[in-house]
Amino acid sequence: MIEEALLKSNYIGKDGFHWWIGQVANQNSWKSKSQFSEEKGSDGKVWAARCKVRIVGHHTFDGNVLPDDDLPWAQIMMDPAFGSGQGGMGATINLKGGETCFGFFIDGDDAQQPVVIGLLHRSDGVKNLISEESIAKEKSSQFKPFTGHPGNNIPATQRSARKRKSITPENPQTETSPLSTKDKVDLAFNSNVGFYTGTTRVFPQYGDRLQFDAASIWQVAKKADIEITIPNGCQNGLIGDISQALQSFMAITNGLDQYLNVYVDAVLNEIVDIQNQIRNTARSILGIVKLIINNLRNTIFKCITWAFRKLVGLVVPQPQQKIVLESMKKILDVIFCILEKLPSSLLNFITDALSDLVNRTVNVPLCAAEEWTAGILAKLMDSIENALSGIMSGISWLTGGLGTISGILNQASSLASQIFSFLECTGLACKKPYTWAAKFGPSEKEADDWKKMVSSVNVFKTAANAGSSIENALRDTSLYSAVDTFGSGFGGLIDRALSNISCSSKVLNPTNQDDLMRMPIGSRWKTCIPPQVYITGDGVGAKAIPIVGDNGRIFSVQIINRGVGYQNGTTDVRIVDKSNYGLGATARIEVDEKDGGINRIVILNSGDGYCKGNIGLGTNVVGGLGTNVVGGLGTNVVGGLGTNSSGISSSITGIVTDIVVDKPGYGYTTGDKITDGKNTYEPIVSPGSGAIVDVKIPTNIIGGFKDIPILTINTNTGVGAELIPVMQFTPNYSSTTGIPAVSGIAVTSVIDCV
Amino acid sequence: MTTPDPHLRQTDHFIEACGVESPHNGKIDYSCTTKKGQGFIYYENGDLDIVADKTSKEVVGRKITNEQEPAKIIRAENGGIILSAPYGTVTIVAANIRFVAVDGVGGGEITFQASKIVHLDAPTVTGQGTNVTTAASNNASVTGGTASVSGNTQAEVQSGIDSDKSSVLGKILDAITRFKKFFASICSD
Repeated sequence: MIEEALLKSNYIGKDGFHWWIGQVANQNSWKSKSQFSEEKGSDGKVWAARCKVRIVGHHTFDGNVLPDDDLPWAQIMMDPAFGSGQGGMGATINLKGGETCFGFFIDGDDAQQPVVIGLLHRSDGVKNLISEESIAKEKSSQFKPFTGHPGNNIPATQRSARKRKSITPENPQTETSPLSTKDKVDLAFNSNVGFYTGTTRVFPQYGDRLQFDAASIWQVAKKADIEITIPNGCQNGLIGDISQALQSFMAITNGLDQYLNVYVDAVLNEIVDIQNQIRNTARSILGIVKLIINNLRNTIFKCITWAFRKLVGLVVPQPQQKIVLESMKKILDVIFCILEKLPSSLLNFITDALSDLVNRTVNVPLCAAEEWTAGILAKLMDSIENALSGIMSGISWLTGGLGTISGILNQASSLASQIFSFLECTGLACKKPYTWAAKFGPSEKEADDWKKMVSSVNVFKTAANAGSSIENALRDTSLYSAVDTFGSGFGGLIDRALSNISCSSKVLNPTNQDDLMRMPIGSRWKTCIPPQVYITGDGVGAKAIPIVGDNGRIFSVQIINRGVGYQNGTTDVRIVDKSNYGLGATARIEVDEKDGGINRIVILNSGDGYCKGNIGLGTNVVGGLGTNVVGGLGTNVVGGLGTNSSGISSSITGIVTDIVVDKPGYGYTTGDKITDGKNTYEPIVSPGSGAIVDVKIPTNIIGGFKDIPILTINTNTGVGAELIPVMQFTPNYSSTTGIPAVSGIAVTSVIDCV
Repeated sequence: MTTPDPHLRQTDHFIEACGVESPHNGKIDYSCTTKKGQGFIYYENGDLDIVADKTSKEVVGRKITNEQEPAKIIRAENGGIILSAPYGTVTIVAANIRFVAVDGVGGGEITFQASKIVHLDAPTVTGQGTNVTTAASNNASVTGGTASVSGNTQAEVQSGIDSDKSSVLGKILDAITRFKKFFASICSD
């Protein structure tokens, strides 16, 4: 000992310097006495940033010989960029236990004071080889990988721990529901549903904990996933507003798991007050109904005063006119009062109708929403007629009859705009009603078609007159009854009476995006439905289809019909997958200002996860592929590209037809070149700043791209330019038709279906 | 087009993300979200989500001394601005409140719509326009300590019934006028 002491310098590095590799011990042995804990030392101060490490070659794996609790404390080297804690500067260390760490002994040969200076990365492929329970039992992790989350029960590298709970037979509501447990599971709540499948794709390079906590991004995104009805001041979209409110409500409930009458939002990780959701939605719908009542009331008043005016002016002698007019005023006051109080009596009806929908159905296509809305309005008409029947029958002899309330509903619909339009040139500029959703952007709605709605309302009234009630008739619409006749393709009586029998099958088995309502974030429809392109704007007739690549990304968008009347700035394009398989694709639309037609659609983000099928490709093909097809696919193919898109979309390839300058950059020169890996392009550079303002496309270019290529700019001076290639799908259908595919040198305008 | 590698930074309390795919809106430009599901997400497409589970408070302008200096500007370079509180009340309190609609193409409209009542209450309420119309399908009343209706060239108060009657009278007078013209034409010959 004396010799050792004499020979040692007790100066770091001079008595030997020992590197080591080890594993951070299970946090149970150190975390409560480190900076991670709020537990304080005897001096009242928090512990330093430290942990315990089991070091290869120095410490045995056997916990009975050297338990975790007896491992040496290791200091942790701090990053000067963040600070040491002095002066309040620094960052908390982020160790969980189980990390493979690298360091040295600050006390040289004594090897009692390790310092952790870094960690070796752990990829998603590293599996856990020992459980937290085993570590506690063995008192050592034995250098094996483990989760680092004691008590959290989160298996590393697997997302299944937080999969959403399925409806179970123990659920009492399931037993009374027309849907069997299997149906429900198949419809939306199966084990494949959940946001974790999504994040697996997003964060493949990180461990399970990162994937787990990525949920907070989903939570924020889901909370911000709002949908708003935009009032245009003209009240010409009230029917659509009710349908929209219903669909928004169902979108919320679709994201919930129900068990023992408790509703859980698995994404937000919270229990949802479903009654509050129902109340709020009923309140919203009632607000829209109130506007309809107001319009209706105005029309009723208009009719009654008109009738009295004719009666009094032409029939009633002058001495009695004042008395009759006073009576009319009192009648109108009573009607005003009755209609003012009416909405509150409808609240329970709407609340019950909504309550019955919860957990009953998942998909609410527009046709079903309109059926439901007709039922609500039928109840409204019924309530108004009942409330006013005495008064109306009392005055009908006097006025010559005013007809039924629902009969004048059609007139009431236009009154809201008329009331602002005393003179034609001063009316409100009533634009088409639309909604805006965070997930899908603006969506145009059809303006109210009251003639059609009155017809639907009359179907309900006929059913009610035949002995059923409006309530029962409403339960006979496709939303409630389709599930009873699963597989038959027919809905209930109301469904059939509305000649809307296909609506029931849409509820259960949507085949395209139009049949499907939006699934909430964190849920998917049971099957992937190919995406669709929606073009909104002032024009009409534009139609385009997305081409999904073999890799599930949007390859290009083919314009089928350019439409007319569109303008840049008011035209929008969206690539929509309401089934929630495909995510993230965005595009930009460009309009030819000369003729108002769509010029092209540029993919800004290809997204991921879309399924092929390419709705629109397989329909209305005349002559198949081999007949009348000139120069590829385009000339005589009507409205589509191929039968069921097989062959055509089985292997997506294409060419670059144009390059859009997204950011011009600066410092480029005319000698710079752009390449996509197969072709070389020449940028057009501004002489001043050296910005790329355009790109020349050569006459003959080589195609065969299976994905949108990454463009590389070969330059020694330029920076900052971002270029987007515009792709053109060039079908290769030789596999199914025997016709040689167009490959190699391709032309840039193959498809001409306009 | 370059595609930077995604970046994540995570602690027990928050996660920062850049360049990773969002649940529904393309790639994330930058986000900071907490374990409570609050935070903000900037998307590469230019969208921004900000979520606070309860009240969001923002206090500005404490050091503004010039009344003409705005303390808060929300400007939409394109598109509209929506304030939505479907189950609450939007309250705007200020020394002065002005609504100005300036679009010269097809807009320039200000509309107030309510399902129950629109109430204006001030010592002085004025309305001014080239054409001003107040209409009610039931009852329209103008009351005051004193009330006056005046027109620079014409002032008229008439009921529908009187109008009907006057139209009948008008037809008779018109017939007489034409009758007189007929006889006048004969006499002139």
